[in-house]
Amino acid sequence: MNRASDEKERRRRFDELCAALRPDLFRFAFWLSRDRAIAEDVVQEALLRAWRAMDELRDMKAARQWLLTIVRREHARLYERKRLQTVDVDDLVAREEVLLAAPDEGELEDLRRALLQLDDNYREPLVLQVLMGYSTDEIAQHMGLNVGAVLTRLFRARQQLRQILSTGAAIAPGSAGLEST
Amino acid sequence: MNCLDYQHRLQTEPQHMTAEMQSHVESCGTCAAWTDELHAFDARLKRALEITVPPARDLPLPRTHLLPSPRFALAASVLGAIALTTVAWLWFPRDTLAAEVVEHVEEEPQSWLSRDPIPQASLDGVLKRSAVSANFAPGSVIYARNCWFRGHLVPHLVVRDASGPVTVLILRAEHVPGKVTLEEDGYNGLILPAKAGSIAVLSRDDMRAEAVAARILEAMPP
Repeated sequence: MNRASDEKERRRRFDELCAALRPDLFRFAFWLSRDRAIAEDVVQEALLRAWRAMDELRDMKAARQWLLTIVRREHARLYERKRLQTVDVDDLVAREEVLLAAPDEGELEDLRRALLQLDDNYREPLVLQVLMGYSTDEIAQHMGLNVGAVLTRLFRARQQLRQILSTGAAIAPGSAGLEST
Repeated sequence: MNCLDYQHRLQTEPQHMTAEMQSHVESCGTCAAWTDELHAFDARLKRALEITVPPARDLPLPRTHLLPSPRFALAASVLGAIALTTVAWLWFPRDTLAAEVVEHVEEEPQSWLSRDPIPQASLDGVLKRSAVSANFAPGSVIYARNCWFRGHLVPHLVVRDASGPVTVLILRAEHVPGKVTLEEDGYNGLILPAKAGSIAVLSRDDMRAEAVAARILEAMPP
């Protein structure tokens, strides 16, 4: 096979990967950044980085985890570069109304608003567990935490969500539940 | 197991039911109802997280191979090699592996901020996931995670030294013929052949990197 067809084949494999995994990548980036435009930028940059480094990916079964790790780093990098400011949750909700309340999903709007209010440290492991199906070990590895810390954050995430849903207000991080699990 | 233990554990990992938990829920109506409610909540949570994804933007991917004809490719390769060798000889640019090690460490600035020793079980887990054996002095490692590096999951550690943190990457799949020193972007360090692959050690003081590298190599059994 010559280099031109190698390139074509490489491109085909990459396109397939993007088509299959882009929804996960976008959703993960959105719940990290809580901003659709930033999420799109992060995914775009992450995919370009992945394309350049694709030869490093030897095991296609690990592609999803690999790409989610790149998205996480790209988000952190963007955050460092732009020094994104803290924003008010009401502003976030107003800005992302279209995403939060799709026509046939009105019942989920409150839950999405609550997720936006959730502390960043709790939202990420929850997204990885519930949406990405990660095990606790995989979350620990992805976030550079020990398993005990992940278990604590997951416990607190659900507890804080319920608190927000019942009272409409978030409780301070660290005040909910046990210190360790 | 009592109801509190059961609910605490299930709220942390709703899909993970041990035999002990199963036995409890089968004999406790309150916890059975609570479990149904939790699973229903998680199903709603998953749907809430599955926001609508906007259409993909165009992704202008750069070409990775630019060789229009074999003859041109050969000529370009030879000329390119000569030019690169000349440049290398004149300006001593950084070694690719060394450059990637520095780039990788720069991308994890939080690793330098760790202060407290990580639990032995966490360190063991990181080493095990990368199929590495090493016996570090208790309390000497203050940061440990598995990182993607050149297509492999490698242990990225920060070891506490008397005068500050030193980063260590254990690179089982990277082989170097001998000691490679690196000095750039404020980092000093070296890459050394190990019993399997190599290790990269970075600090802001090359003497410390030498000392730490020697200790790391001693900690790795044959």
